[in-house]
Amino acid sequence: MENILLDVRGLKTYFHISLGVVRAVDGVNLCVSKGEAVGLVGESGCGKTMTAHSIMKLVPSPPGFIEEGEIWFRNTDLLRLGEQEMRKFRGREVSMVFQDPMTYLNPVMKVGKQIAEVLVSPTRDRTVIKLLESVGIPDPLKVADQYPHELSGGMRQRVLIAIAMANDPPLLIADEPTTALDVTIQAQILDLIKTIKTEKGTSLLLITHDLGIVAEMCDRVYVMYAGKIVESGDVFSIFEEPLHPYAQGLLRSSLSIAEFRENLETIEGTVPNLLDPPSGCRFHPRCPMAMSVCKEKEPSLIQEKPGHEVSCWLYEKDGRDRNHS
Amino acid sequence: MKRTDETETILEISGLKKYFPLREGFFSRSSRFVRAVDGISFSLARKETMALVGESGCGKSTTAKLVLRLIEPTAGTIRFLGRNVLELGGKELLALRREMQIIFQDTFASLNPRKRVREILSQPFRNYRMDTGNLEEKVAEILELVGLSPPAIFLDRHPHELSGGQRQRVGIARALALHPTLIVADEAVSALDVSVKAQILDLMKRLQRQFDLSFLFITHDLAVVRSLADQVAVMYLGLIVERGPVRRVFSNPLHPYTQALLSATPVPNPRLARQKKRMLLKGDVPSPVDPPKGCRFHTRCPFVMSRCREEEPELKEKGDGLVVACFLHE
Repeated sequence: MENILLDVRGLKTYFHISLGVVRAVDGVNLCVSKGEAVGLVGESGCGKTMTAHSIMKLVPSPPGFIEEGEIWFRNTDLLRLGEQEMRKFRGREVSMVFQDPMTYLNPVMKVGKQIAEVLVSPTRDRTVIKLLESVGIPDPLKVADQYPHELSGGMRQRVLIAIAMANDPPLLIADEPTTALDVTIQAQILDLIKTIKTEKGTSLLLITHDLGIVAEMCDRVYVMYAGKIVESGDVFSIFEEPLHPYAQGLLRSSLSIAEFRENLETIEGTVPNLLDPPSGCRFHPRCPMAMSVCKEKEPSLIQEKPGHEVSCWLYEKDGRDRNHS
Repeated sequence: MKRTDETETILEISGLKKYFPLREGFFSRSSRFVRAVDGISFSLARKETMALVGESGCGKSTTAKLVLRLIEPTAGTIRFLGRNVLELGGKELLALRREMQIIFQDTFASLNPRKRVREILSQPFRNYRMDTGNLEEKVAEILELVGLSPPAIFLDRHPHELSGGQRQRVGIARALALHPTLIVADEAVSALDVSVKAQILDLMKRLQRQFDLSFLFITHDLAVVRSLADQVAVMYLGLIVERGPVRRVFSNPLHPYTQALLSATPVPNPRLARQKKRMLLKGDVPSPVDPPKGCRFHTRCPFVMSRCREEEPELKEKGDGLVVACFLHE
């Protein structure tokens, strides 16, 4: 357990809006070990980004509130920290890169100054220029003197990564870091993140909807659906022997350049409204294997194989018995 | 899926160019141009799907608009169903447009937010004075076709009351209403989630078989191309650099840019992904205002030779309907 860097337990983040309560994150357990690359995958609105924002305590509040849970980073429960302490924590211990760098870079401040701002202790080896160099920016002196809008999308993402890595945090959270980029630029950025990971031993929590990126980058994977983790395990077991019908459907419906598919398999229906999620297992209205128990009771996360957990009645003895009775 | 002589060519593009003038001052005449599409040629047969792929700014969406004559080309010809689209006007163009429809990426922008599904889908019939008889029945029929069933619950909804996938189904229904020959799909599934994307692609494939449709599919997503298209044309800075049958191009890409695109696309298979040797391109795509001399890809090409900086390679036939523009393959 000493190796565990981040341990999220029973996290619930709800949004209180005029129509009711949106249960965006509804009891998430997740951990990241030292040096590990962990993927959090799911479709739009499943709560993956809000999980990340909760870890950074960046949930817009109101309307969002972290209702319950613990977020342990080493020996500190982040949810007990005040905003002052949290500020020291962000950037030094955990950093985050986002999908749209333009939103997170200051448009009226030169790039070099923005990086200098976050450097806690500049040294000869740790300067703005060195940092820009380390993220593969070809002409760091020039770029330091430019504004974000003068840079291409890929360059901006590199600048954001430079800011995130300025103080060598042990954990980097990347939320769809390449979704807005072209595929050849995406390959460059993913390569950069991999290099940082191997050179500095940084742990990575990668949030994405792209199963290809997960397959390539991650050691372990969490699959999220409608605010809950439905399955987790190492990347090979998730891709080769997915247990949860949602994970199975997601993999079957994702296309690959490596394979021609005459008939595309799909998951019927649409993602539920989290204002009024389905009873029991939230996937049951779309599940091809749904049983009566799925409607009534929520399945718990059980360990089906070592290191491979799933939340589905198909794998609970109790559930199987009920189905037969 | 193989192209034979009997297959009827419905669309033939030749030497197509579109330059957009750059405004450089209020009074000055512009002398510089964005060369969005810079001389491309291809043809499309009935029941066939051609994918135009490439990254932002390669000219693929401009090509889509040119084909439908939503914008006027700077040079080149477009023949559709045997007629020169650029020479037609008025009623003749209107009649020909009935045979070519488009589906867009952003359904919020392409569906009128103030109209109900019923009105959105009645419009094509009204445009062509086909709103006689029971219009409501016709609309219900196409809703069923695109899987929005029962139609009664969708007819009175506004676009914002539908999910992204349902909105795209309405977009497809509108394109399909008049039973066109050709549907141009401009990043039609790019904004959709994995499971919804598969549903929409499955629907498009089914409709293609049912109505003998041809698709011109504009996308940046090569994984979609593999399972959907028969032919693929890879564009870079306004030019087609490689074109041919999908199976052939994907199994043995000849142009270094096609190789880079394929090698950069992540595959949802952890074992394959870990074996894959990645070919990383340096830098960003150059500006289409001042494209590099010689081969436009030479600034990023890992196999660049001195000749590439001077001369522009032409598309050369490589057998089996494959053409490539690269000096490595001359």
